[in-house]
Amino acid sequence: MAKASWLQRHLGRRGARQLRFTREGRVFVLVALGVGAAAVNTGNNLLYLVLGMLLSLIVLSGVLSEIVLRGVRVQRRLPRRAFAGSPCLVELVVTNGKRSLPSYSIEVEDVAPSDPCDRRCYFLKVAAGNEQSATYHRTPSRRGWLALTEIRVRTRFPFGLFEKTRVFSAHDELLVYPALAPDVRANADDLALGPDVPASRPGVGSEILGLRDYVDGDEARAIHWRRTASLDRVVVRERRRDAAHRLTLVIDERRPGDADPSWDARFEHVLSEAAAAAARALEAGAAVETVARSGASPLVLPGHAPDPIWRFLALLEPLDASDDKPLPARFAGEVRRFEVDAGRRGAA
Amino acid sequence: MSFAALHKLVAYLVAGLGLAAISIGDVLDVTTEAAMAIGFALSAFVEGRRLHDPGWSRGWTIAVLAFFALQVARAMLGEPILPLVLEATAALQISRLMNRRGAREYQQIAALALLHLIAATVLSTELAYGFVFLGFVVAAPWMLALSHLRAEIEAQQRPEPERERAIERVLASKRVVGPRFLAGTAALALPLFLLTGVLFVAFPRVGFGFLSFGQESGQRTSGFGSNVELGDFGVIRTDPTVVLRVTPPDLGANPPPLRSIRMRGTSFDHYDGRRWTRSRDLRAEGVGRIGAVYPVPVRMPSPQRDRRWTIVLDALDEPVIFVPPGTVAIEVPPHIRSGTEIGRSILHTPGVDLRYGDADGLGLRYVAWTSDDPSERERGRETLDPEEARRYLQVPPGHERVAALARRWTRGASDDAQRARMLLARLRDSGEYRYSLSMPRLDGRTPLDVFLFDAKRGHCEYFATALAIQLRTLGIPARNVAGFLGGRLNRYGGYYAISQGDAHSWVEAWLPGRGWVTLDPTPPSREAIATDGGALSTLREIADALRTRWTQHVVGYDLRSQVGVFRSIRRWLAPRAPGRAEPNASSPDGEALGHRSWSWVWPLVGVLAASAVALVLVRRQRRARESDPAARRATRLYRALDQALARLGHARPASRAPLEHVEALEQSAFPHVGLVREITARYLEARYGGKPLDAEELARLLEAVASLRRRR
Repeated sequence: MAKASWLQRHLGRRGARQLRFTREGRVFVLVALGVGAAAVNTGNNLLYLVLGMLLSLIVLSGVLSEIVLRGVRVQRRLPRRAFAGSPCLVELVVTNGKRSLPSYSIEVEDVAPSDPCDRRCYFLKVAAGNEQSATYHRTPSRRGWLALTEIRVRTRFPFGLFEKTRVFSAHDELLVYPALAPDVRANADDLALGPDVPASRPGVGSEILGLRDYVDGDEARAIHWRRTASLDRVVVRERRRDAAHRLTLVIDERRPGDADPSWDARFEHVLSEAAAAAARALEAGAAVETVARSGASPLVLPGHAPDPIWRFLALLEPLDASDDKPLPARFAGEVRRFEVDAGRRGAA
Repeated sequence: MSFAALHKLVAYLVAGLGLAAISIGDVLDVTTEAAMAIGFALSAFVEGRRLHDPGWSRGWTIAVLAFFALQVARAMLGEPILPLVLEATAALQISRLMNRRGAREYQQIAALALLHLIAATVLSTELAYGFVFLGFVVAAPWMLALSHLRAEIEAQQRPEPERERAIERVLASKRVVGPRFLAGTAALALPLFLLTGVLFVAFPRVGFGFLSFGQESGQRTSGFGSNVELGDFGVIRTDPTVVLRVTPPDLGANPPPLRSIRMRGTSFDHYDGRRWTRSRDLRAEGVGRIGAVYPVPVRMPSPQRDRRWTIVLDALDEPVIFVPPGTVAIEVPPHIRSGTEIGRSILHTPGVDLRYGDADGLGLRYVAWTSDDPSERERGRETLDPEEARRYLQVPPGHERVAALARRWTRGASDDAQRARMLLARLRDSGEYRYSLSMPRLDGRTPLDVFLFDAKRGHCEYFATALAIQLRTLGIPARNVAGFLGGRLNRYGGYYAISQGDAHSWVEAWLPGRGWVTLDPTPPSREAIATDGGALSTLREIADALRTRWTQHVVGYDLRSQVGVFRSIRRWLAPRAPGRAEPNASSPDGEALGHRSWSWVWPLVGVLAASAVALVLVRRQRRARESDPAARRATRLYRALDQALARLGHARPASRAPLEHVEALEQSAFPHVGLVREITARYLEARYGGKPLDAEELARLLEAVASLRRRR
């Protein structure tokens, strides 16, 4: 195997750099060329002196911009939830690892090839050894995995003549949930939920079943602060689940053979409706699960976050017409069917 | 200082340097310069809302356009273009300063200042440009960096309506650019300067010379043109402007501070009673060169026998080459155009002067080779040509009294040499005639009548004219010579500076068997007029030494200098050839190829090594301090205690240790000394005893310190 050359290794360690002229830089270089031509023509040493200064400024600009970018690290913090079509906040944390030199005028761009976004975070000054964070709004255009592949850190410091960009490979994936259809909320209100009867299973209810460790998604009000303090770990009260209604959202993801091009858009809308219905039903105290031809989501108990269902919906892909996976025929509790054809949608 | 205030200050510095650059040459008149200065100063007071007033901005746009139109009209009426263009760019700069609303205007100010700096390169080659350039080297990184940051600040802010307020808030901040930023960007001047120097030296000097440059006219000085009127030298006698820098061959280690160096310039043969002129039939001849040597006025020089004078002559309005007595040849480096040497045009008028015919406004640097052998002066002139003798015996009518006086003074003399000596003795040594700068009143009489018979005082021109005419009346050919006599040692430049005030006049007389002999009839009391020393004189010396180096190493840097620099570098870098002898002390430059002295390197290496060690130690100390949170916490605690005690009127002097301060508090019966002792002890344990403070304990102790404050 061929060994990497010194240059390749050096560049690899430094990270990729890109350099381009700014408008001011182009003018500056043109002026320098003009002064150079005049100096060579006339032999006027004072023009050589000015030319030397202009070229030195260009060299210094390159060195300083390199110093600005050196030692800079960027960390991306993704939001817990992101919905298609809704803005979510992405936090970028810039750390200046240099011991004594601040970094000025840094612009950070978070790159997702499948979902371009023109918002950049600007940091006027990051002091030596310090970190600064800034957020930007990203509005994912579609549900599913959003791959964020790299972070570009650029600066035009010190003189604004050139823009130097350093590209960091920073691979992250953000699961984008389907948009929550607003019109579904009202429809979910008419869920016919019967009287609550305590059960021996954990869930939403008035009686305490016991204590358990906190897991992501638990509500803050469920934390038992005194025991948390004594045990030195966060524990929550687990309540005995009132016997609740169970709602099954049935989604047929098979694309008909004669589906028109707008079918996909309608399918997305169906998923949005299902996502909103799941949230509403959980708020109303129902246990919710989602069933489709390709599988089913976990059953989410009342009081828990609807993320497992949204996650299932985010990743649900349409099936070809030839796919003969059947929809389950029997369900526990209430069933709501979501089909692309809006005219035939309704409760079973 | 806030960002906005700092940016304004730097912008004015840069704009001021640009305007100063175009004011250096004599292109702009005083009125324009005064208007520029007033506009520049007034613009600094334009602040706040006015800057953003659309009416104000529109008014300035109209005013600038009207001014441009006026300049175009003046150009069409035949006024010189260059001053008009400079005035227009100056007006534009003032307009930008009056309307400095945001980053765009500041960038325009920087661009116009750079344009002024570039334009000034063809206006003047004076040292003042060097100072302006140096200022630019320091200020340019500040200006460019601040303008860039301002542009970014403006670009990143939210859209209207909060935008203006948000920008103002950032610009008013003192945290964006602090002293470290300023120091850092100012420190950039050093690499910028060095890099500029390296590039300046390294650019190949292959000037094509399609365009000319440089000021065409030099310093105005009297006495070296086609005629000289009696009295001209007196006017410039006190002018300290240096025109010649002479390094004599016998400078030595401890040269005297003052020396009378005689530098011959030109001579005159015809006197009309008031004015000396040169006859029209005196023709200048071009001189051929051998290398850089021009074998005039006598012969090719002999480096072993002849003595070498290095002379730097400023550009004068008369391109006369000044030479010391006994000059046999001159050596003038050729010009270099497109990499080709082009010899200087040297003109020789035998018996009159040497001139250079291709004045470029940069003066001349040359070498004069002199011989101590008096027989070589005007060699081959055993007898004077009758036509030439007739020219140098011309006496204007009305000088009978002068002739009679000359005969009376030389009564009993046996030859011309004795006659000349006797005349000199009466004029110079008798004390009857005094040197004076005050002009005798003529009242219709000839100057010589007034000088010799009435006033009996005058300056060199009167003495020289009196002697020349008296010699002529006695049948001795004589001519009036104009040049310089003097020389003040410039300790910083290692040369004798000869100023305008050293302009002098004397006589050359033809004595049979000796040829042309220099006779100076001016009494020595002339020396008393010499300018005195003091701080001003020292400053003048430094300025002139700088100016000389500027002219020589920057303005006059050419392909030959470049080759010399590279050759020197190669010589320094070349490894010493094994078995070669030590440097030959008799070699002209003291160093032969392959030999180098590294003695200067060791102190430099020592300084650099010491600096590096100090830097490492400081960084290590800082890193240790920063990386130890326990130590940080302890320091924080004690600082809080220090502040609390200071507020209570028991501040700890910097020279007192913490425990000493506790004892002092005890002695002063400070009521809470117990608490102070406890906190001090804990601080010392944590800082030096290896018992770190945790965050909880720190909070508790800080609370105790706060309670100390409250107990006040």
